Amino acid sequence: MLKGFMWLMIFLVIGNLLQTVLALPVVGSVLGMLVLFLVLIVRRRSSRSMGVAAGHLIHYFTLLILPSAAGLFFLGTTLTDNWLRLLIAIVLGTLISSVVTLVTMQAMVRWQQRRDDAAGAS
Amino acid sequence: MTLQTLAREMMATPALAIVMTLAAYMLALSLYRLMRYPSWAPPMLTGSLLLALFIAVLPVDYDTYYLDAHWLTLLLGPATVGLAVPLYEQFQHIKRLLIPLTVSLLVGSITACAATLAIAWALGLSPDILASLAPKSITTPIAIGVSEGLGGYPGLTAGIVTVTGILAASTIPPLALMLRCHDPRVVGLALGLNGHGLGTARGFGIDAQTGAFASLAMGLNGALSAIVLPWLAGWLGQ
Repeated sequence: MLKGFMWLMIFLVIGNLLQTVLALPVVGSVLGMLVLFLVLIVRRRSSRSMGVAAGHLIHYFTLLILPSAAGLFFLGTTLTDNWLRLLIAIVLGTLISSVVTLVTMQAMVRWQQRRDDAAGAS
Repeated sequence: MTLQTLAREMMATPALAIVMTLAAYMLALSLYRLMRYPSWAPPMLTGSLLLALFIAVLPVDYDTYYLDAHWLTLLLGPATVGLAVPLYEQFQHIKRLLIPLTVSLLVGSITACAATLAIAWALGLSPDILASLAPKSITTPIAIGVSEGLGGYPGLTAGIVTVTGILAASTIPPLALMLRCHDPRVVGLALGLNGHGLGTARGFGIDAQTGAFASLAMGLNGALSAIVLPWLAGWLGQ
């Protein structure tokens, strides 16, 4: 647990370093996640200790996010002036992307099926 | 001693802020169980409402509370890094569907962000709101990170992500029926990509394969969006 936690913190530091050095518009934790994902792919093996530590932390994601999430109710005019337009954008945007994703994946799965069938027949 | 000075003394250490957060979380979980796990009221929504109520009732302001709660939010860093581990483990199972998944993820990811941003922009919303809106379909911890990086409001993003998740989880299964998509891999991908954790929970409610594809799509979309979004947002902002 502690060893895995240390490694997660090391990747967080690497992410923070990358953000600062390359002046990227993404926070260090997200960069750290991407670097760790690449390391696991290259290594071709998961990490038990990091898996255990990550599992514990991920279990409490909602708790860890609550302080930021409550900020929604303290935005004042930023929210009251814009909520209807925001809601329209969220609802329409989500419906459009849901339909696009369903149709694309459906077409791609059928394409793969035809390719597999052709490979099997030859 | 007045109530104000007492409150200031209490907020001098993070103890009260942490108790408030834990209490809101535990209460939200109990409510969620009591109401038999309603998909329209995830603990994230009820919990943040309860917490906001505590902050409003007690003589403390949000900024002071947020500063003290840093003891908890600090752990969001290693937790977000840790998302790479389950993502890698999921990634092992999809090699055969690599091309369909990559294409669908790219198309879906970009549409989820671009369609919403285009509508929001046409409605005249300001750049800081657009930055908060851009990561709406990504899992909350990554979304907050992306939003902060782009100059958005983390609280607004958390709210937007929750609303998007509830919406996607409730509309995608009927949409899939209308479009005659019955393949669990297709429905799962759409649920995870558009509705992140809440969509994934809905997917596992349908069957295991739908859930597995939803959780894979959620993870890959988070990773992909973290790379693509800042670039796309910068380009759209021109």
